[in-house]
Amino acid sequence: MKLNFKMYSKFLKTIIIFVLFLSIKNIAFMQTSSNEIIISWEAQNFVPNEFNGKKLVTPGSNILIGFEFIKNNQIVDLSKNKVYWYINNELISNTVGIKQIKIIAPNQRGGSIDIRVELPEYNVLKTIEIPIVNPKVVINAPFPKKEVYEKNFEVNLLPYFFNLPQNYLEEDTTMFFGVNWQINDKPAVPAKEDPFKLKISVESDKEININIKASIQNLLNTLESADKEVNLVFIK
Amino acid sequence: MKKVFYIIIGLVVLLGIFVGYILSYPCENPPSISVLKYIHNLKCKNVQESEKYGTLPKSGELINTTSETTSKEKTSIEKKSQVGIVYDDKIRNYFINENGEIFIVDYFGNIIKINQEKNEVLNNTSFGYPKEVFFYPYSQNDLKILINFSGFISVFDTQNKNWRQISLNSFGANFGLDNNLFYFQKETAGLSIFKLNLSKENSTPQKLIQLNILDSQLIPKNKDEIFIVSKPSSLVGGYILLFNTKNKNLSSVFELNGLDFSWDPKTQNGLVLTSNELNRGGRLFWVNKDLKTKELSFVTLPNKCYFYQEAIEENNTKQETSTPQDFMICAVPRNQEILKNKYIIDDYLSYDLYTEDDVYRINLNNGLINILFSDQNKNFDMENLQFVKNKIFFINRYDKKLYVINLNN
Repeated sequence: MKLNFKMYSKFLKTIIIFVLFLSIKNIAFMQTSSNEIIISWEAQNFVPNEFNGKKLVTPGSNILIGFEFIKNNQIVDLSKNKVYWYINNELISNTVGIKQIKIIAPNQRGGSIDIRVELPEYNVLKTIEIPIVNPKVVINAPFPKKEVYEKNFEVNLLPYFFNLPQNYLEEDTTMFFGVNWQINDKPAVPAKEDPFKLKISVESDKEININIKASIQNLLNTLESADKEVNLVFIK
Repeated sequence: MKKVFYIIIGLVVLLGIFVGYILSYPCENPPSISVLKYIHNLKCKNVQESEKYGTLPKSGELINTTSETTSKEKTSIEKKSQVGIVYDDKIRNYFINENGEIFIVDYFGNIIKINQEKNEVLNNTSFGYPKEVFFYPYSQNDLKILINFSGFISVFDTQNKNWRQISLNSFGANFGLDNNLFYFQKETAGLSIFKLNLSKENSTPQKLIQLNILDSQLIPKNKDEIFIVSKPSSLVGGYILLFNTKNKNLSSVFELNGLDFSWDPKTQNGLVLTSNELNRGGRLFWVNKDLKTKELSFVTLPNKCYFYQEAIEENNTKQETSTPQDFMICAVPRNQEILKNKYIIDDYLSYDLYTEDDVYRINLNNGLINILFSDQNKNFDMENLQFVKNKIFFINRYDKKLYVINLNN
């Protein structure tokens, strides 16, 4: 087929109109939309009592995921609408009115889970990403610049995001963990009443470096473990 | 030949989408979707420092002041003040009323009123270790203390020294204004937000809305509205919703990556911290009463800042007038660079990160900053700041004790 000037011109007009249309759509998109899906989730794993941050997902964590569809500032009743749930692009539910699902995080450290909710009848969808992290442990050594001026001091171990049985009692959490401490590469014995606490006495009259290592393991799941190291300086 | 033109059309359309998107892209709010971060950086990374609010002075420099600045605001980079311990034991939270009375909840849940001569124990009933402690500070003579004991939530009335326990399936509780308490409650039908009127002893909780918003906290915005905010983390996308308790309207305010949020209902100011690319580092935004944001030139955790109003005298040609201005006092980590490689929120909340802070005051009307405290020989990781009678009170995270910086000296 031979193309002439008229055809070029027609193409050009179509393109300009289409691009303008898309630009307007983009500007509208950036304004606060009155139709919005809000997806939220909650991981069910262990964090210390004082922690008020978000519980992150680790391999094997139970995750409760829910959503609400807000239209014109009101929650929309979806009890008669099909809700499509996708996990990593795979359809897992298309039942009417399902606004909450439970999943178990795959054994995929460092990866993430894509959650997508689609409401075809309202022509809306939303995707969020839930990262999968490793269980974490912190040696809480509250000393500015990691300098210690007291001869007797203590540090505490804080485990995060380990998967413990559903109805564990807060007070009994130590029974689920195996803890090992080291000071300057030598095994150290934690406090009798609390394996997460290490009491340290310095018997030196000079400035010394103190290397503290700790490792922790979930006794119910040997694949769940974490370790941490801190370096302190004792200053006389 | 036809195919070539279709390809050209396709390319031009894509280019149009890209250009249109960049042109319409607002720099105020960083995106929550990772792909959009690149577009955000492309358009917004050249935002000049001067456009940011409250630029911190560089070491050794005097703070730039304008003709509008009062002499009170002129100060040098080094600012040493008298620091003292107010309560020499670990505490969970504290509150100072306008009479200067200090109320404390310690690590064991004891409630203590600090007096000059002798401390008064208001309650020593042990219900376990408190997870969270809030004060109802909107009525001078009716201080109430909300304690989340992890297993249950209870409110202590300091006047009649009674406890009032909230339903066992409740969580995420916070005081609203007008002597109300808001909280989530798990029911068989799902999750709901309840309101409890604390001014009447036998009041029954009122169900406001049933909703599937998980792992969130409630923060009062004003008398009629509360924020529903996702639990903070640098690593995940977060949201701030606004719920009107009267007309039950619900709207989305922000959806951002790595979100932490604080709000002061008294002055109607707030702060949003959001994480940078790869979830490390962060950007801090001041949020005004209309929920418009302005980026600040420094980064700190929202709970290290305190808002207040002060009447500033203005010398007009004919008469002297005083207008209330909004100020923010912030404990700011001295080493801003170290924050760039941290998952700030998660590392801080898990005690993997401690900071050494200086204290700044930012005039929110004009962005002027001045240093209130900066002493290289003193290392405090400050949280829960309060500014009362020219004294800055704070909890030092290193030892969990209550300290005061007296600015009168």
